[in-house]
Formats: sequence, C-alpha cells, structure tokens
Amino acid sequence: MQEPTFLILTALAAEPTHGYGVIRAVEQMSQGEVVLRPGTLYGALDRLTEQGLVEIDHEEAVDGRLRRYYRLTESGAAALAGQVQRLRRNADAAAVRLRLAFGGAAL
Amino acid sequence: MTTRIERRYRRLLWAYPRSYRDHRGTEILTTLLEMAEDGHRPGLHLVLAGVRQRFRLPARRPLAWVAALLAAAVLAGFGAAAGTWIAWRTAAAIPSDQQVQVLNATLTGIPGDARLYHETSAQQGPSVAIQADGTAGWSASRIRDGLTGAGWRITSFRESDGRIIPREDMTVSVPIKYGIWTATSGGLKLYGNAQVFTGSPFTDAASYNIRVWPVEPAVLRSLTVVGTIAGLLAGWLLVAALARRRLATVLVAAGLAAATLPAYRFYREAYAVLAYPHGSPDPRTADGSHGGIGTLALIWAVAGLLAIVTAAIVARRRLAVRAR
Repeated sequence: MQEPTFLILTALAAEPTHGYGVIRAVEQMSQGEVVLRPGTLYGALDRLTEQGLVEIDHEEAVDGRLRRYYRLTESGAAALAGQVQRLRRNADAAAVRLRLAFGGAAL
Repeated sequence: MTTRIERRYRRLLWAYPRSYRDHRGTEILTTLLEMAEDGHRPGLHLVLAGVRQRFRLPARRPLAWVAALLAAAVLAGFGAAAGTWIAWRTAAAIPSDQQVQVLNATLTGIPGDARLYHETSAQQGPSVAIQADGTAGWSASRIRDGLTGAGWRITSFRESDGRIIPREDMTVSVPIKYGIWTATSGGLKLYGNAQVFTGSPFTDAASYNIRVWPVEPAVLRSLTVVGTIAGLLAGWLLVAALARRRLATVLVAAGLAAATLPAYRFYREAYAVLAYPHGSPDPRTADGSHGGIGTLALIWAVAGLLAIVTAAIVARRRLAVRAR
C-alpha cells in the first residue's frame, strides 16, 4: 500500500469525511509532508471505491456545491489494520536493529 | 453566481471525460473552490489527472483490456497509413497521362500512345511508367534535347554498345545500343532506359521504358510515425470511453478483430516507408536489408499475442486477489 493510499484510509478511519477534509487531514497527519492534489485524491478514491475499501456515506448539496462524504468499509478497515501491523512490525524491527548497532543513541 | 475562478476550474475539468464529469464534476469543483478559499490553486496537475482518467480502463474487465490493446494495435496501423497518405499530398504531382505520352514520343521518336502504368511505390507514393516498343533510330541528342526542352535537368546519361542474339532460333548476334538516363524536375524524378538494335535484320527496332515519380516528401517518415502514435492513442481512448458498456466493448472488439488483416498490411507498408533508403532512389522496391518484413511481422504477431495473453492473465489475477 502506497503512502497516500494509507493516509487517505487513515483520514477516513475516524469518521466520514469529504474530499477537502481528506486533503487537510492527510496534510496534518503527515505534518505537511504529503499534500494531496485533487486529481490524485479523486483518482485514489475511484480506485479504493472500485476495490471496495471505501464507500460513499452521504452527500450535502448547497448552492450548487456538492460535498460527498466517504467512509471506510469493513474491508477498508481490515486493509488499513493489516497495513498498520506491517508498518509497526517493520518499524519495531528497524528500531531493534538500530539499538543493537548504535546502543539506542539513534532513537 | 458563477465566479471567474469557478469558470476557470470548470474549463480545467474539461480534461476529464464527460461521463466522469457528470458523476464527479460538481464534487471536484466544490473541493477546488474550498481549496481556493485557503489559497491553494491547482492547475496543470488537474488537467493531467483528467487526461489520465480518459485512458483509465474499468477494473475487473479483462475484455476491456484485450479490446484496448487490440484497438491500439489496429488503429495504429490505420494511423500509420493515414499519416503516409497525408504526407504524399505534399509531394509534387506526377505529370498527366497526356504529358507523359508527349514526353515519351519526344524522347523515343516513336509516334502514337504507348502503354501507361500507374503504380504505387514501396513507400506508398505514386509513380507512372510508360513502355514503348517501335521503330526509331537511336539518338542521344534527341533524348537530351527532349528532356531539357520539357524542363528536366539531366543528372546522368550513359550509353553503350553490345551484341545480343535476339531469338532462340538465331545463331548470329545483332549489334544493339543501350541507354540509361536519370533526370529531375521540380520535385520529380525520372528514369529511362532504351535498347535499340543498330544492325540488320532488326535495325532501329527499339524498346523504351520511362518512369516518373515524386521525390519523397520531407514529412513522410515523421507523419507515418505521428500517425502510428495517434492511432495507438485513439484506439486506447476509444475503448476507454466505451468500456463501461459491455455490449459496445464486445462489438468494438469484434470489429477490430476483423480489421486486423488490413491493419497488418498497413504495418507492413509503414515498415517499407520507414526502412526505405533515403533519396528516393527507385520507387519500385523496398529495402529488405533490415531484417526483412517477414521476420518483423512474425515478431509483431507474437508480441501482440503475448500482450493479449498477459493482459488476460493480469486481469484474472487481479480478480482472484480481490475475491480473497
């Protein structure tokens, strides 16, 4: 799973969120490192919807504007949980090896 | 009220296919406007994302992938042929039949109309050939003057003498004059040869061949390549646009499958156009020194088959992964 996909799923994990909400959440979570552009976001949402990881929760239409809220599906939550485990396992392994090599000075 | 920035974003969204805009346009526009309020101004990236969307095929549709590959391959062949055809429109026009007959009569000294042949060259360009048999004495000056008088610049002229036995039932050889010449005029090339008996019993029996063809247009090869690429993209875009309609995809795939044979012919012709030696040396033959058309066709056929099989396997695997 690529980082933007991981962050989009993470942004939707807590509550249903609309497009710009996802962009802002991803920027905040990554501390400004990942700034999604709308083209990328909606391409990813299309793909994730087709894969059944994300679905539309509800829509808000006001003054010709349309906010569509997305939420994780059960498979999306499972995929995100699986990725969290993988990342945690790899991060732990990296920390252990660094500690062995540098005696904890690097962490 | 529609603001200037909203109009600008609506224009940028035209990069997306219409069906996609119908589904997502307002939503993306809302996001763009909300971002603009916070000072973010997406531009080129949105257009690129829209163009990418046009090439996107729906997931879980192996038939769409097969159809897209087929369409790209077939229409690339047609595109190559179209590019070649357009390029030849920029070439010098070959003389009319009447002009060729007049030139032939002037050069050969044989009166009356001779046999004319309109042929397509290996590079898919036009050429006209005329063959005259009759009785007229050999005269190098008549040919030279005739060419110059008709506006041709002679680029080579050779004549030689020989002896041949004209018929199987004869045992005595007869003297003969051979002539070969080339000339150019306003983007046209001319080649001529002559065989004229100069001794008894066939004195002055003559046989002439003259051929005229246009110089290869400067844009011929580039337009052939551009046409190929345009056809490739058009084929893929066609299927991407129709892929959500299963019946349409099936019909397009069936139609394209039927068009593979002409497309194959167009590929061969495009190869001949590109592999031909530069300088329009001779319009009749293709250069077979670069591996040969047969080998290339075989490679294409195998590559095309592999591509389709790979697409089918990949599509099946994706389906299997998602089904888990």
